[in-house]
Amino acid sequence: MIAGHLEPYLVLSSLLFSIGAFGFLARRNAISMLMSIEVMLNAVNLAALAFGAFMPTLAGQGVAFALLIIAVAAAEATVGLAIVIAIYRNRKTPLVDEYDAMRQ
Amino acid sequence: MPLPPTIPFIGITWADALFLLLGGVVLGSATLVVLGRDIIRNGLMLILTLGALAGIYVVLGASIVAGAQVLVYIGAISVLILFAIMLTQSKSASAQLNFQTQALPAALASALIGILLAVALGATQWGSTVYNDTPDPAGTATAAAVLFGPWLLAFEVASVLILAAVIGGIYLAMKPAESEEIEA
Amino acid sequence: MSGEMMTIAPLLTVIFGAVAVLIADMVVPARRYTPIAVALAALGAAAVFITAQGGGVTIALAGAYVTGPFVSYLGLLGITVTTITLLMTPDHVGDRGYPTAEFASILLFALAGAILVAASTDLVTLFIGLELLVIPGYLLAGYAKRDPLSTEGAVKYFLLGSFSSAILLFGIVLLWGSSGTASLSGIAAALASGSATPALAVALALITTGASFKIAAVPFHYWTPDAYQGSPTPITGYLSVGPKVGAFALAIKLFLVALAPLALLWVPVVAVLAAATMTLGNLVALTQLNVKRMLAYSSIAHTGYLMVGLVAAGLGEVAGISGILFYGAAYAFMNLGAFAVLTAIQGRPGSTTQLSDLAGLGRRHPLLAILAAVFLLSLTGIPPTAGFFAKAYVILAAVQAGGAAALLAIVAVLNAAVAACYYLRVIIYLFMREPAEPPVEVATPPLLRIGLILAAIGTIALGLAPTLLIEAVARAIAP
Repeated sequence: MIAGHLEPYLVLSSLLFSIGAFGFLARRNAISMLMSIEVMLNAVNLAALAFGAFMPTLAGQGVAFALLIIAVAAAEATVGLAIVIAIYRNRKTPLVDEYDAMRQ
Repeated sequence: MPLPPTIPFIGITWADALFLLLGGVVLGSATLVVLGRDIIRNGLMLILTLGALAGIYVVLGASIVAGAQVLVYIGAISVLILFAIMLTQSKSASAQLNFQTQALPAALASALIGILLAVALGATQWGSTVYNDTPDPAGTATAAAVLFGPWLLAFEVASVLILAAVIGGIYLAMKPAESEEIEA
Repeated sequence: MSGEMMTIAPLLTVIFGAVAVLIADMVVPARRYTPIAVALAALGAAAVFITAQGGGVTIALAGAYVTGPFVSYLGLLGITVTTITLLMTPDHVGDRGYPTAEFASILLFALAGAILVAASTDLVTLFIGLELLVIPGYLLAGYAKRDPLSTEGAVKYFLLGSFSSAILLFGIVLLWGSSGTASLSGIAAALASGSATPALAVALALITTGASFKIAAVPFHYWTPDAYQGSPTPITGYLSVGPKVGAFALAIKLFLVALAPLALLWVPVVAVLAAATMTLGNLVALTQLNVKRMLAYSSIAHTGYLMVGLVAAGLGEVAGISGILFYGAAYAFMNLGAFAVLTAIQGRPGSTTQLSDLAGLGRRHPLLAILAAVFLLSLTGIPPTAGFFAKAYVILAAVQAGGAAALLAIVAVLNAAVAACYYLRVIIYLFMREPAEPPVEVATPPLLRIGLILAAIGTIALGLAPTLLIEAVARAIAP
């Protein structure tokens, strides 16, 4: 019996979060990094829903929290993609480590 | 004919099988999102990750979030990401090295973080409910009572947040007109 | 107006103001000053509402929004910062061919986020407020969208900012799950009665990391210099003040309200980060020849001084909070002022902010140079300017807290001495070097002039009569 316990969901969420963190730290494409952030936010969402389902005091709050996190993620993705499109227009590359005009 | 309580021959419950299957898909496809060399496939793998997570949300009894996940994440955000990929990828980009030079330390650090998080969260005494099968459906009504009760302000401001993001996003993404000069 | 409407009136006014700016721009399109006027009117109305509340504690929306002296103080500070930014920016971005309406609108949305952070009482509203504060920041950083440096700064700011938001959010969710409530005071009660679990330790680590990114503390600061250098100069001034003070409001809420029972766990970590932040920020600032980038690093150092106040407050010294609040106001005036001067010397599009560009400014534009000197002396912490009392209060609070915090106070004093080197070097360039040939083109349009004067008045008034604000601060932290 796994699906009836809280811990497996939290472990899954932890692993997913670290996969996203790896993607953010290792990729050099701005859109890849954005996708990694989305993976991390989804890991957080999974944890929120798991708490909501298994903690009696948080019943209902988990779902509400998750819906709000989805809204925040949508706003972040909108802004991020707009910025990426703006910089691509200037620099013609989506690779973040080539954005080094200010290094001294 | 009712289903047997456990899967014949394997001996695990249907809910567990579903959780293991979906969890495996989530972790596998998320790994492909961050490891794959072709960025369009990464985007498609992201959709698979999000879809499998929606399945897990159903297992958790939060079908409304599963619906929102499919509509907002898969339907809107992922498509937006795929759009941006196609707008910005030059043909040469995907053939180039996809990882930063510090990918190996990043991998070690992330693995450490993942293990640490998993062990800490797994070892904590949560005092949580244990179900025989899967959690009872949390009930959309309970969630709505929270969202439109104590958290009403957060809910309303989330819409303001999206408005601000859309206004700024349109401004930044719009092709600058040459005649954008402003009269004083 | 009903009581609840009156309570949230400042927030609503700012949000409606942000929309009204765009409507005004639609009715009278492409005017440079119309959106600014509408935005300033909204700010004025919001300030009137806050003053009319009289600092009394009122509750709205089932306790999700609670005003009081703390919220009034931060609200008025936010309105001041936004006003000065609105005055500094329009001619700078307008001369470079960018509209002012979107700028004014986005800036007001950010102010709404800051007010919400200050007034929230639960983790969820706090997080949404934080996002409303920082997401407009990413947009503003890239506001000069045809300028590769601006978009480059924006992309780095956005990526690191979202990454840190995700980390902070995971910590918040774990804290919420561990304590069984989203209410900040409820969490404090649950933590005080419950025992520490591994999950709680992880939550604390994640929240500390995420918050350190947001306030730009070492070692989570590396997005700052690029984001600050790339943005249009007046917007850099805003980014180095607004989101930072807002993030400290978040830190006060999270660490001093919700996580107060765990102070023994987080105070040592924050103390070490504070020492590292001050020292590294100052040492790197010493080597910078671009004044804008130098001020970016010096703003990291100022984060460190503010964190000293957080440490003192975590050790139970209430003066630490009042130190943070006073420092926030002083820092807002002097840093915005310094960036207003840089905006003035960038009169021509494409001009730089190298140290050599400031050479001989005292001879050609004595008034501007004197104002620049006032702001720089204040940033150094020389009496009788606002910066002196700001540093003094924070350091005194640390000394009163005693123990390791006193050690931190010594580090802060040593750092102030290091900082004097690079601030005074700029003053030497201003008054003792031959002007560059050809001379830099200085432009002080009327609005920028008003902004400069406001910043200067604030810097000097807080230095001559700090008691004016101290009383407001004391009210703000009274229980």
